Amino acid sequence: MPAKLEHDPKQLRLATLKRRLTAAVILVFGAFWVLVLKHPVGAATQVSSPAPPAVSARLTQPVGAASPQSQPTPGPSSGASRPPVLVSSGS
Amino acid sequence: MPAGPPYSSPPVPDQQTPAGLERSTFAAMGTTVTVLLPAAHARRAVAVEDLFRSWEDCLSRFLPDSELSRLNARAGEVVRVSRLLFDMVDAALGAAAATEGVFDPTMLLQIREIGYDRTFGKIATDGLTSYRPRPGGGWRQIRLDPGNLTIRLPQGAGLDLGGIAKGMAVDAAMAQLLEAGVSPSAVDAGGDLAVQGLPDGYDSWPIAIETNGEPHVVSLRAGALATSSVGRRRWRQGAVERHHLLDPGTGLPVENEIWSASVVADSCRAAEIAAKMALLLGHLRGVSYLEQHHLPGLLVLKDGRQILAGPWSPQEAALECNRQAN
Repeated sequence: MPAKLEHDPKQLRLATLKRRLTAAVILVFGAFWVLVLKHPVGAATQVSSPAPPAVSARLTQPVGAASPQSQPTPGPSSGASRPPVLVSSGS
Repeated sequence: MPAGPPYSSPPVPDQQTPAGLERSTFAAMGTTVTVLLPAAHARRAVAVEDLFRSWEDCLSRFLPDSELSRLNARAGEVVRVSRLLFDMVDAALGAAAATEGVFDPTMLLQIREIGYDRTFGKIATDGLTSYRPRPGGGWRQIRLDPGNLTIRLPQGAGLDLGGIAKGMAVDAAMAQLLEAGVSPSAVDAGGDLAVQGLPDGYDSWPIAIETNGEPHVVSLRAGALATSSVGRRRWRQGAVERHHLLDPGTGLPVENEIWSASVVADSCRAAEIAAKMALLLGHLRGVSYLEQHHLPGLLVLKDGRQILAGPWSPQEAALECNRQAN
């Protein structure tokens, strides 16, 4: 009986399928590990150009952006052809 | 001992005062403040000057008796302060937290040690060059108690509120003028400026942004504009060239491709912080920062290129494309 079971084509196909499935899972996880976990996006930039900790901020928090209602609208107008009224010279 | 900066600043473009307005200027907070008011309200400029003087008396790091200087001298202690100083420190810490420390108001000791330890016109050019750079971050250890109006600075840290104080003084002056019904009006504190209303015959305020080449004139219909630049406030400390914008990550004057960053926002405080952020972050990240926050900005690079970022009007963007194409 055991010998017969070992050569059962159904069992053999099932065992082969299991091995292939396991190998595929290992391959996919391995690729994910190498491509994503070990080398996150931006890692190359950080290595070639290390930024000081403070300046590597996520830059997602607002500091007081203009609201849509009151947002200034810089752009040309009849005023642009006149001499400047004020100068922003930098502090 | 040679004194004063050895570098000449770019020439200031000619300015025109619109008909019906009067221009007043005075020196305060380490810069020249310009106020434009309707002729009928010109005397209001005195109130604006009083505001700037009282803020300077409280917030200057150069006046030994200012409330800020007294607070800095007592680092490590719990100190009761005025509402003005408390609110200013609160705002500065808020900006530091929002920018994760790129904007750092606790670089006082570093800026002193690289030679900027007195008002700019009096900086010595033969100072020591043995500065050992150290990063900032002291703001994280500052403790505020809003109930008792007390502040505790960590030992070894000091506050420099220069830029943000100037921006907030402009905002306070504009609020004062608005409350008094004075419009149109403009207040400019050395490049940190705000406008409200429009002069007769104008549909916007033409503002010249100083660059390392020809000035870039923009039209501002309302709100505020601030510029941070490494082109001004430069000096030598021995053989080393210095400027006043420190990178909190290194403790040294920031070195990147940007010559100046100008930003438009609805308040001068926000514009000032964002301009400093863009300059410290550098060209690409500065542009990204302004885009993310929907702030119109102009970055002037040291090689002369001018980069528009953020939500400029389509006309202005087209104008810029044409200018670069030509």
